[in-house]
Parts: sequence; structure tokens; C-alpha cells
Amino acid sequence: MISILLHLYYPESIKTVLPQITKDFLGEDRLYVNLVNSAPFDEKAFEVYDNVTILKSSNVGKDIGGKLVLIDSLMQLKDESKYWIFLHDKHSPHTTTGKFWRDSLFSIVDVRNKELILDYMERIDTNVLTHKNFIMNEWRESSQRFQTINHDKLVELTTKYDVRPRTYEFAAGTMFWAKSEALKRFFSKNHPLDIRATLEKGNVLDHHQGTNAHSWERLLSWIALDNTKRIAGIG
Amino acid sequence: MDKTFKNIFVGVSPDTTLELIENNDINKFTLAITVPLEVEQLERVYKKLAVNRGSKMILVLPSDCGALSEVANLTRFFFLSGYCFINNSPILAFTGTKCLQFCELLVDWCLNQGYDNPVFIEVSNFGNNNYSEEKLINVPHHLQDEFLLTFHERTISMEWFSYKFILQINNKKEFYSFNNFIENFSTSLLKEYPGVLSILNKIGKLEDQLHLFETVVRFQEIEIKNHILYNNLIRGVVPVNQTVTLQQSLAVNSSNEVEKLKNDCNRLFLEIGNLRNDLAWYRRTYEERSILGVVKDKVLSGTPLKNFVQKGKSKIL
Repeated sequence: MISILLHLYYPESIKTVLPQITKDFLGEDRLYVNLVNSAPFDEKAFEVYDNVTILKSSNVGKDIGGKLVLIDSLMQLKDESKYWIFLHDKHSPHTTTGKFWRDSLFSIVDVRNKELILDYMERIDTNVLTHKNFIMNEWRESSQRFQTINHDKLVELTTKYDVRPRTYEFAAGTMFWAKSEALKRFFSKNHPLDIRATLEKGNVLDHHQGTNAHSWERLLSWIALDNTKRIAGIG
Repeated sequence: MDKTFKNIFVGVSPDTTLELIENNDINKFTLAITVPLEVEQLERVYKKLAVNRGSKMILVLPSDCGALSEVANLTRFFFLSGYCFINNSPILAFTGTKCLQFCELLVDWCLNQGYDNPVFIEVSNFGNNNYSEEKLINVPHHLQDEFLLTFHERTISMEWFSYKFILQINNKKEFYSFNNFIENFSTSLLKEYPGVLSILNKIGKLEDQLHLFETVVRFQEIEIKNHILYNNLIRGVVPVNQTVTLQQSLAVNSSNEVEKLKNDCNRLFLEIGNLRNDLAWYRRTYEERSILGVVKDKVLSGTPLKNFVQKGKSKIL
């Protein structure tokens, strides 16, 4: 019913992030993990899970690059789960949001919230769910622009891929639940690894110019939202 | 299992891979999977490997790999956690003449996906004495007895120490026989050459440790660059003198750690070199002092090595 797509960059996340995905939460569902191949991970830590697939990839496009690798694998495996949960450990050492960021965002995989989340997700008008503090919308009606350095990239990519959500709200932090149907439909037409090839290599920042990696953070939510659905928040 | 067998790859067809993959014993070996030309068959193998974790593998390109329509179905294997790499380069073996056009597609794919150029390893045939550490040596069926008869002796005498071999396995039954043979052989050798095996196992552990340290060094070097990048951002809000201090502090701390690991790597290289020397010495000494033992083994009671291979012959081939 659920597939968890987890991208890990930091080896220490085995001790800090992984325990947040409990066996109680996972149940019979499957965990798909992508590890950055340049980091020394202790893979024995995954032996606690019965249903886990581990991938490794080069460090391209931050967590988005890793998530595209995972999506490609799920598409190839003909994944039948109704919901996909996107998670990752990449944080920004130059910001001060570290622990708060993680605690809030990982509340979407807290077993105590699972029933509530499933209630939300089963609603016909809800396709995406994240922590309420991380729902953002950069679209400004007054200027008809996205208020971000990524504006030009966003216009280019939404046009190229014909992504036209009803709302430009997105899950900032790219940790969210999504109904998988719209994503599967999109990525069956647009190869995830072809998109990954367009992302910037290494740990790219968008402080001075827009980037494909940061733009795809937004697009992933919008693709999941489909043309008519909304994004819900918990917390 | 005896570490000398780490250089034996199990050569399998896609069908044999599907048959063997749920057997945990297969994880002791590295699979050399011949790439099928049918996309559906390749997809089936991928699905099995993705779900059953633990298998180490490389792909072997057939001589007619130019007939493969696209690289995506093949390169997806590079993301499996057990796929073998040299640093950031995926390893691919090829038989016959390398199809340059297809290899160029693979090189482009690697470049686009953030990898270094793939490492292409030629598969050459056993028995022609044209051995090289840069090649995979394919041992055909009719020569596997001969190969196994001398494998261990030639390995511990350093003659084949760094060579890599492929032994073709065609079905589950053959694999069980092969695996039993290796296990029995290892147990017997442990009794006969405890010193040699102890050194080999230690080398194996040190090589694993070295690989881990090298990965840590590479990761730390990347992180140092990241810290510098982040500090450049902080520079906008932090007074220049404090930023410089912070930056220097981060760089120095990280550098110290990297230097320590580099020193450890050098120490491990030296230690492995010394152990290899010890191993060669052990072998030489054994040969010099064991004339009576050799006579006893070979003339009076026959060599245990041959006995083992003879016992295993009907099972393996």
C-alpha cells in the first residue's frame, strides 16, 4: 500500500534518521533507500528491515537526484503501492533549521500520526501531505511571477513538461506523502534518469542563480498534485 | 570462507541468476552476469536482484552487445548496492571485440549521471598463459578440474594472487557442488596451512578496512569543499574576520581528520605489503623445509589437494 523512498547523504543518518522509520510504521510495506556512493555507510543497519531495497548513486542533484533514482527503480519494479512517501536527510549546514526541520518533517512517518494521515490521503481532493509549516507558495498573483531566484527555471520546466497544478503550493523540504498515480503517469512518459541527467552535480546551492535541482523540488509536488488536487498539512 | 576465493567470480547466464539468487550462499561470491540481448530478460533479472539484496555483481557484455537497443536497462544495474565499482567507475567486463559505439553510449551515460568513465575489463581464456591483473580469466568447463587442482597452490605462492577468474555455473545443482567443494577445500586447507590462511584472512580484513578509509577520506574532502562553500555564504552576514576564523577552523579540523585517515591508509598499505612478503616467505620456507612432507604426501599417501579435486570432479562438472 505504501512505499517509502528515502535518500541518505550523511553516514551518521543511519543513527539519526533511520530509527525514525520504525518497523511498526513500515509494517508489510517496503522501504527503498538510496545511498550516496561517496559516503561510508554501514549497510548492516538496514538488516533490521525485512522489506528493504538498497540502491547507491553518485551525488547528483541533491536529494532530488537520489529520489529520481528511486522513482526509476520503482517504475521498473512495477510498484503497485498507492502512496509514496519521500524522505531524505540532506540538510543545510549554512541555515539554523537543522533539528527543528528534521523533527517536524519526520512527523509524517510517526506511527502515531499514520491513521490521521491515511484519513487525509483517502480524501478525493488531497494528493499530497506534509507538515503544515512546510507548505509554501512562491507564486505572486500581483506580479505574475514566482518570488524565487528559480523563477525562470520554473517557467521553463512547467512549460516543457506541461505541469499545471491548480495551486503552486509545494512541500518545502521535499518530504511528503503523495498518491503515486499521478507520479507514475508522469514518469512513465518522462524517464526519471533523463531528468536526473539535467540536474547539477554535487551539493548545489541556489543563492546566486536558479538551479534545475531546486526547481525540481517544487515540480515534484506539483506533479503529484496533478491538475486539480490540493496539498494537506499536519502538525 | 577462505579469502583466496574472493577472486573467483561465478559466471552466470540471466536464467541461472534467476535460479540462484534466493540462495544465500551465492552472496559469498561475485556474480559475473552475461547481459542478455532481450530487454524483458534483463528486466526480470533486475527485479530479482533489487528485491533480494546482498548479491555482489558485475555485468559481462556479450560480443554482439552492439545489438542492444539502449543503455538504460543495463545501466540501471549500476544503482544496485551490490554492483562493483572502482571508486566512482562502474566495472563492465566484455567478451570478444569491444563494441566501441555501445561503449561510447555507456561513457556518455556515466558522464551525464555523475560517474567517472566505466572500467572495461577484457575476458580472456584460461590456459593460454596470457594472464594479466587487468583481465578476467574465463575458465571453460573442461578445464575447471585442472584449474581447481592448482588454484590454491598457485594463489598462495603469489603466482595467481591478484588474478581474477570466472567459473561458469549453469544451474543450481552445479552451484551446490561448486559451493560444497569450496567449503570442503577451505576446511581442509585451514588444517593444512593455518598460517597462510590466517595471513590471507588478515590481508582481506585490512583491504576492507583500507577501502572504508579511502571512502571516508573522499567523503571528508567533499565535505571540506562544502564547508568552504557554506562559509562563503555566511561571509555575507558574519564579519569578515570571524568568517575567516570559522572557515579556517572548519578546514583545519576536517583536514586533520583527513590527514589522520590518509596516514592510516598508508599504514595499511605497508601492513598489507609486509603481510604479502610474509606470505611469500611462508611459502618459500614451506617448500624448502617440507621435502619429506611433500614426498610423504605425494608418494606415500597421495596429495590431499588432488584427492579433493577428484572427489569434487563428478559433482562440479
